[in-house]
Amino acid sequence: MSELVQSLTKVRQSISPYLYLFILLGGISVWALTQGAYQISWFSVLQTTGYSLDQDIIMDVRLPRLLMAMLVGTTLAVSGALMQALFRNPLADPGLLGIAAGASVAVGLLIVFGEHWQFLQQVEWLKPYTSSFAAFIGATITCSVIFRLSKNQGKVSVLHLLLAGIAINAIAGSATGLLTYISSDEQLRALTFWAMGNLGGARWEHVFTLASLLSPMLIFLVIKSQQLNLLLLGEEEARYLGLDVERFKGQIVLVVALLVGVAVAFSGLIGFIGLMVPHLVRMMFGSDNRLVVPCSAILGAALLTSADTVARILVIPAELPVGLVTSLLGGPFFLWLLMRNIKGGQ
Amino acid sequence: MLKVTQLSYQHQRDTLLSDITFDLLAGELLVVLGPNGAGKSTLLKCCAGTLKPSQGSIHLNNTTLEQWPLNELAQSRAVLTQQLSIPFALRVHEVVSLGLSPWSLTIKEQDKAITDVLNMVGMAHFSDRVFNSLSGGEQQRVQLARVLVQLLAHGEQDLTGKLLFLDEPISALDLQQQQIVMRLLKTMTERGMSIFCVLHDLNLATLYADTLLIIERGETVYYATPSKMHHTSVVENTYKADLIQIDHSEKPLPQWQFRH
Repeated sequence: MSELVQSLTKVRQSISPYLYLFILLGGISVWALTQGAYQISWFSVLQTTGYSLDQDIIMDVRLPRLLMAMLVGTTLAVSGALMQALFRNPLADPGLLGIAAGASVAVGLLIVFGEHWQFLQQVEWLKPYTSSFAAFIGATITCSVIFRLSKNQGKVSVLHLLLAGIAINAIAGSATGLLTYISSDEQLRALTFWAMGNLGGARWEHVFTLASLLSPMLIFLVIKSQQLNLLLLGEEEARYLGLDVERFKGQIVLVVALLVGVAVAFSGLIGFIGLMVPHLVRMMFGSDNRLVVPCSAILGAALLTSADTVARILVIPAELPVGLVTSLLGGPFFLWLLMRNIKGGQ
Repeated sequence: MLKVTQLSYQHQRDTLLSDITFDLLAGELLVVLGPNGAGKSTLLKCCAGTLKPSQGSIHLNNTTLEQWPLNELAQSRAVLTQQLSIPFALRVHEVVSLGLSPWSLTIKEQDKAITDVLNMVGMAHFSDRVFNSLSGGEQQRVQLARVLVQLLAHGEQDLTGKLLFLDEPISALDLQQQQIVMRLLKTMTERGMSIFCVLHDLNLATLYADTLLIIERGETVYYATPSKMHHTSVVENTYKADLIQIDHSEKPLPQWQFRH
């Protein structure tokens, strides 16, 4: 058995990780485009010229949704990799800081009280974006609160960051509960559905907005990935190696808040991608963050695309919220990870 | 090289270090000794720039420590703390390569520098092993290689102006490895490196150190060459242990044995 694992590892090492992951992503993408309530052949997917119903469905519905799933998957996976490096803890997850929960409270407020706000009713063009904006604002507010709470004598303390995150998660949980309690039946349905995570509303303009927000952050992170490695040694050790640790941690926390806020804004709460993907990457290609960050970006895209496709085809003609699928896969994975760590004495 | 003048450090209301003065010259191995909780690690952290002293000054090459830009400081001084663990499965050569981050080297230069230091600590054959799977002593040697490569990045012979801080670098090593590491440190000082090393082993310290600094409850009780300790009761008084002082059979240096 161990020989098999060794030879598989050798095969993997000989192929460039990026090539391996891009082939995987490409295959999953073609599969995702063919699947759904209306079946499309592989041939039509790869055909780029001509006009047909198939082409319409791909261009207007499936391609924006596919790209949206990829972008959100990338965002969640990369923020997971960042959290784990920052906390020096393999069990850290973007939900940990309470940023996602903060964003969901803002959306909850909008769903329950939105109809009373005259301003929102009058500006017609704003309507499709309101929940996204609310989530983004919620994430930013939560992030600044957490960051302020976690500053101890001018330094960002990871322990305080974690404790502040726990407190924020508790507060946000109660607030969401309260909103659920006072909401009408229709609002309750909207609230619950959003909280389970969904990529159904994907449109081209969403894809462009998300891509323009994400690309600069991803480039920044790939440049900074060697410095993330220094944090693995410990904060004091990283400082001895010339890293301005306080400044760098501040930058990373800000980037994570933006990434998670953006992802929640566009797709609701989708769990466990941030936890699972960096782990899978580490198992396949090692723990060097110069590989973990970009590879998580690609694998995150592939994994969320698969989960979303499964969510679309499992109960045709209806579809499941993708957050349910990722949690169903991710929950057991998390437990397995925990057991492995306990057995390994970590 | 490193000039520490009347350094004091207070944490909340406790005085952890008071009025410590010493000079570390180029090519000198200074060993800091003292009972548990004497303030050895605190002194190291002050001198390395992690803790800000309450009073006194620390000059590195005639410039105060705070005025050194972080990256330039990292190119001329390296610190091995007692924190060895790494939460993820990095390989040995990846851990050592982190020591090169203050420098911009080509991949070929990096590989050479990493192989050289791994050879020095006798860990070259472990280069591809996962760091976490190594024993405590092996991990300690890999971390030593990491701080050495930070100062030896270009493989230069003259190491004058380079400063190495070590906090109990041989605490997990067997006898053979202790000797190898202490001899390695000695060859580094012969090439001009200055080393500030916290140790627990008195006999090794007197054998290899150029200067001993013994502190107790944050105060200096001895600061001189090891040979001056002959026929004094500094050690017995400081450690309050029942010891016999004897002579080393090859060198005119004091050594200690436990009384039965």
